[in-house]
Amino acid sequence: METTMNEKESLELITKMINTAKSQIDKSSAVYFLLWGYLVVMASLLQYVLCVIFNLWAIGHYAWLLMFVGVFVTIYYRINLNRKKRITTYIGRVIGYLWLAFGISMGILVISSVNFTYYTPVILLFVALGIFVTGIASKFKPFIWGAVICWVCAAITFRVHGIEQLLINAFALTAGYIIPGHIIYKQKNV
Amino acid sequence: MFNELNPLLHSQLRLAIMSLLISAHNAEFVYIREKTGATAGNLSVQLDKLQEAKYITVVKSFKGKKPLTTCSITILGIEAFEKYVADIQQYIKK
Repeated sequence: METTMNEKESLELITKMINTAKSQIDKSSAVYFLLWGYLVVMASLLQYVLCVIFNLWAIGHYAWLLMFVGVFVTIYYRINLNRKKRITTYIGRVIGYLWLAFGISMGILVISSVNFTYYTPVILLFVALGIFVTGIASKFKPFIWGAVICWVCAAITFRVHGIEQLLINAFALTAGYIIPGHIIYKQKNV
Repeated sequence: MFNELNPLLHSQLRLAIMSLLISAHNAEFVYIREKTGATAGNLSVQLDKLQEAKYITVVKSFKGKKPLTTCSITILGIEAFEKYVADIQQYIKK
């Protein structure tokens, strides 16, 4: 089948097809932001409640065992969602590797960190970097605003050294992961 | 004088395929079929033509037990596409 077309129709077709494949935030990625957002917020608040309200300072940090749930669910989804993916855009690939690098950096930080005072601010800096680049690359503003809030919260937690860091952390992740995650999830399939 | 439009690209379906692939790292056969609205048979024929011209690479593999055809554009394909767009712009500006 050969259809003749004039030059204008050619350009229209090119524009239409490029718009079809252009990088938009991938709806399936919402699951990671919602998963990690809720897990980190839950762990932060749980540790805060255990320590401050129940005075269980010795066991409060066990709340962070919830992160293992995140790791397993993420690996499960990565394997299954990748199988369903039918197009890989350049930007999608770069964003994917950005978050892989984020995961590796987090892993090294968790294994090696000895000074827990700077744990929260450093993690928030990484989070801000990740969502900022994702937001710019996919032209998704909620991530950019989320990144700004995470940067501000990181700057604050560098100065606030007490258990209150956890509350700021929960607030930052709500703005950076949970709210944008819900916005992506509500978007229509493209 | 206007450059003659590349006949390989100046065809609705082949141009649609190339335009899809230009912004993607790779795309599956099923995805291209869905977005272009072409029949599987016609799409296969046009993909073969583009592959013969070395504008795209077609990799056949398996996803589980199902056969999977993945296409991606080559450097030669990108150059041809860019030239085609430049040529078309000449015509439109005239």
